[in-house]
Amino acid sequence: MKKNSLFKHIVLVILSLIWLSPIYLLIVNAFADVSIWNANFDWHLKGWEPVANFKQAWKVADLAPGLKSNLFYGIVGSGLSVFFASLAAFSIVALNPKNKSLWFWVIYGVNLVPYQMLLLPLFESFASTGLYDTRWGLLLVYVGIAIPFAFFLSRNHMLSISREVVEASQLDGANKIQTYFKIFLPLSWSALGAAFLFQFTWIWNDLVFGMTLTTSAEVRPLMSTIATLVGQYQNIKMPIVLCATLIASLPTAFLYIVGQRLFVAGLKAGS
Amino acid sequence: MSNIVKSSNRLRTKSSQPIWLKMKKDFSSKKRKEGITSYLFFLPAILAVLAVLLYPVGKTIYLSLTDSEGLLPPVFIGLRNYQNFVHDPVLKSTLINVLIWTVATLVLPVLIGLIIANIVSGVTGSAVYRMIFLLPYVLSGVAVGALWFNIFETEGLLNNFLRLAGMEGFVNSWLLYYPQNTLSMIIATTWASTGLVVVLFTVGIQNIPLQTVEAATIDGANSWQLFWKIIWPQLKYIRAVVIGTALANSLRTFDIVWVMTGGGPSRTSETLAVTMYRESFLLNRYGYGSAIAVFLMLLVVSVSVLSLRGGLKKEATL
Repeated sequence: MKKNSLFKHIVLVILSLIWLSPIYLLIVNAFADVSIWNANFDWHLKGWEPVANFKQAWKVADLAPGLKSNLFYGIVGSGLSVFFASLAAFSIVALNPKNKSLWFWVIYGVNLVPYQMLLLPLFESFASTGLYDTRWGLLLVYVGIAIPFAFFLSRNHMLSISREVVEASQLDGANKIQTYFKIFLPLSWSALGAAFLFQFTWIWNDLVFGMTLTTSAEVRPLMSTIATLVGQYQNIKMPIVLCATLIASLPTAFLYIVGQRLFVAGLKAGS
Repeated sequence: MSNIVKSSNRLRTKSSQPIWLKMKKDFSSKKRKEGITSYLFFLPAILAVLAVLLYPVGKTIYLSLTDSEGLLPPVFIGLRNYQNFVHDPVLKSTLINVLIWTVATLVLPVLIGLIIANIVSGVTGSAVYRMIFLLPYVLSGVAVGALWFNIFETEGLLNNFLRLAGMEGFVNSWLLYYPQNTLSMIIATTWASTGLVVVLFTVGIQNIPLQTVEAATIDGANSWQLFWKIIWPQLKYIRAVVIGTALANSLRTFDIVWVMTGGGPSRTSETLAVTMYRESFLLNRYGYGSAIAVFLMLLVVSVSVLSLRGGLKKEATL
């Protein structure tokens, strides 16, 4: 038995090293000293200037407004989509509406649509309604796109809530809104938390909708700002660009490290 | 329509109704009201999905039947865009790429993820290992693309490493020739997406009742038998979800190709999503691009429905 688990650890350590080596490269090159940087990626440390590079990336890439917008899109967008999705899931699981599976596919089915399919009509309708380049417009897009998967996760979880609990609460005279807030919401908060993490990450990392539906620095999300830097290696040294991508990834990395238990618990309940 | 007529008739005859009919009516109207409130619960979700997803999908299907190029009002041309698409000489290589991506994503992240999940569960420190594999997932597509571009570039890290290791023969312009450019991008994708598969499968494995596993171990099952007889069947539902999502994601592969090769050289590494984007937003051929989008959507939806059906069936009985 012991020998077996030692073998497992050896395999896992080798695989972990393979998985970590690109991250190592990212960090080594992002923190390299820009003055001795020779335009190529390197395994070796070429100076160690994390603070200076962070400062410069912050200034050159002008990350502050993008970061602010991203927090708004991520927290509000993911929060709203998970709330709406859980309401819909509650209705389908507990209230037994007619044509249940039709409604399920109407909401979940669009999750399978390639995003490219949405860009052109959204761009046109945004231009004609004045939503183009506004925070509320982009928020609406994120909420809509995040709903199907959040719905899928919360529905799976709510299926595991036993019917007796629901019926008992109804006998006690709870109405539907009370049943939702007092029973379903508290019982499924771990699944909803996992859905929130998932959708927060998706919104945080979105590139294509930000690029298509916004132009001003105040509204534009972070990744779209950074993507324009990636194409300008001549003007901005690569360590600075990489540093900007690292700064942009810190909040999601932090969330996953802190919320891993919640994330796993939520998925566990939903499977 | 007929419902409205019926209910207004009922209203008119209200006063002259016998009591049993009145009761029946009250009952049915209460039931209808309940039906309406249950719809109210998914109204916000439906409205958002309608505005952001369903309406654009409908619009794209319409555009795919027109010659829209942005400036002039679109003219209806029937299925001509689809005919042009079928006769595009690059279509064959694009479809082959889509097939390569699909098979590779099923074989690499899903299989590797399943193997890692099996090793990880039950080992001390599994949360740390899981975290390591999940790290790339929190990086954005932009970061992953920029990182791997620098590795696979002709003057990049991989070639430097091969020269140092004395394997000059393997030095290659990884991103400039087909098929190694597609393979390079698949490796980058595998790195980025395996972590989530590991987490999902570990969760599935942890959900298997401990007694089942213990009983099998006492009966003398070795780990191979344990996997095939106990773990594999129990993972049925989560497997359907993982495979369904992996298939859908691989069919619509875009970000990484866009950042690493742009679909080149001369369109050899294009996927359907890249072809669609190039036609619509670089060449302004909205009608034609929409036709490709519709084709892609049909492909994704049919494959996903097929692969999800097995997993969703189980819940129908719940």
